[in-house]
Amino acid sequence: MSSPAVTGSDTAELPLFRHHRLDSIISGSGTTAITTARLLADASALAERLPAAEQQLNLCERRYPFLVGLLAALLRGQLVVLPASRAAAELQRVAAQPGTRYALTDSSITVAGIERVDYRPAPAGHLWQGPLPTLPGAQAVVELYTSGSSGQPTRHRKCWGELVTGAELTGLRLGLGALTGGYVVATVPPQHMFGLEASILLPLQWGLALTDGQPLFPADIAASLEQCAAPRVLVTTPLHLHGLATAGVTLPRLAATLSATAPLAAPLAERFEALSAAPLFEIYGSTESGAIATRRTVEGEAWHPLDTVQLQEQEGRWAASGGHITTPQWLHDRLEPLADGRFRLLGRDTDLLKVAGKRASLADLNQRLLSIAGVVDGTFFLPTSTAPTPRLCAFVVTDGTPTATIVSALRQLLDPVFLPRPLYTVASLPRNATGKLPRQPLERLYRACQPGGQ
Amino acid sequence: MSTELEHAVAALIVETLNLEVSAAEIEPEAPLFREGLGLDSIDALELAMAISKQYGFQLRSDDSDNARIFSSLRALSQHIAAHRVS
Repeated sequence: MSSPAVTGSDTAELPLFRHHRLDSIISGSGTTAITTARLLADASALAERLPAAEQQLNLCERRYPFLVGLLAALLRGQLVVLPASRAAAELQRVAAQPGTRYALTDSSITVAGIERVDYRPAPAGHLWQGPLPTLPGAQAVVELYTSGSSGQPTRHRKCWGELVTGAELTGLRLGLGALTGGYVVATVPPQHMFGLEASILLPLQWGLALTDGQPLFPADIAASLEQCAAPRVLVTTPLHLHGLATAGVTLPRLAATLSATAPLAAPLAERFEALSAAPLFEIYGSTESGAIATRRTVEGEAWHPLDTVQLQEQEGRWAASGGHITTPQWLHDRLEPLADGRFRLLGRDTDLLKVAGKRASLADLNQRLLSIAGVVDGTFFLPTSTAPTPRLCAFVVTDGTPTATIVSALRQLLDPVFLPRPLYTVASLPRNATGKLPRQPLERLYRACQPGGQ
Repeated sequence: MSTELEHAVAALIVETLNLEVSAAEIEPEAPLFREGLGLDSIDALELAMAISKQYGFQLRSDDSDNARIFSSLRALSQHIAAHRVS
């Protein structure tokens, strides 16, 4: 099967579903089984209830309502906007965009200033009439955001063609064609790029069923997998894999495991392959580019770009293009090219850090910190640490405002994973002559803040 | 006034999550997640692993129970007391 590169001017219509029929299972596990026809009925009924708007803010927490909302938006020609986090400030920012008139939710969350539409399945008797639908490849379907050193978020719109091609290339690499009729259990939310690609697009395009939940604890992940018939695919992160390997829960036999958001250590990969009796693959990618490369961790550290995806170097930085990546995208890591187009990762751009698999720009975090009343000066800092999930701390110079007040304000602005642990109040920050904060003085400051520090 | 188990669980939380507060500073009835101690779901997972290792049982999340079990140190300790094997 050839894998054509997608161009922005692609006018072809592409199927919403591949390897699915109207009567195949698209969602469910255990006692629930939802067919593609039922999904389309739910989506078309929801589509009729949506306000006229350019954009839908999709805040559904469960995967099936998220998908119904996404399809309903597509049926109405609306773009689905996916906030980078659930911090109140981020939801406000997205809600304030012209064209975002409503939020679709399956919980009690509200977003000030816009209408709220509650997810509901279709009323009994509401059926989907017609064949499986298609969508123009050039139709913009989702918008995601990243923050960079400029402080302003960057928008990334994905068109249907890019998402389909990305799913095609990933599925070919992973051999998903052999798993038609299987189930995907995911521990990641559908609103982030990895969850969108792996827990929504892969099932739609490879004849798999998605499952509703987002299990966290090892026993819950095992139970979710038990509730699905084989073949089973687990979409997850190193943190969850570590939990599963440590807990010693019994897993049913899997067909494959897919991990992303942070690098996975080879010993853990080996343990997990033994536990799951299945190959474990990692995906390397970004919000901007989508999936770029894969590796089977136990085979070595080299990454293998997806077919037709290319990496090019320019002045020490690398960009990915080709395949589903319609515009070349800068990568945020330094690479070492190896033979056969493979590569090794060397380390991140210094401004971009990851905490528990979530990416943030240090400059952006600092801007937010400095925007808080009572903070005279401040910076976040990620100490070198051997803890399983290293956390940021922060140093602030205050006007006397209590740290609890500052942390409370931060909670409105940031994904909770980036909240400082702890927030140290200091007399001053070790800025140099140009106002920068080099790492070494910060490390000294960090040590001085520890109990027993000088 | 906290029980012996509450103190042990508080110590486990502080040690597992590398927190700056001392075990004695964790109010038994104060929220653990979002407000109060400000823990998040990553912490919940790491805690679950530590609890399983220390007390010999697996934490499950049940829609109705999860919020309650993790609502405070007291609630978590009661849950552990009811399910512990070691």
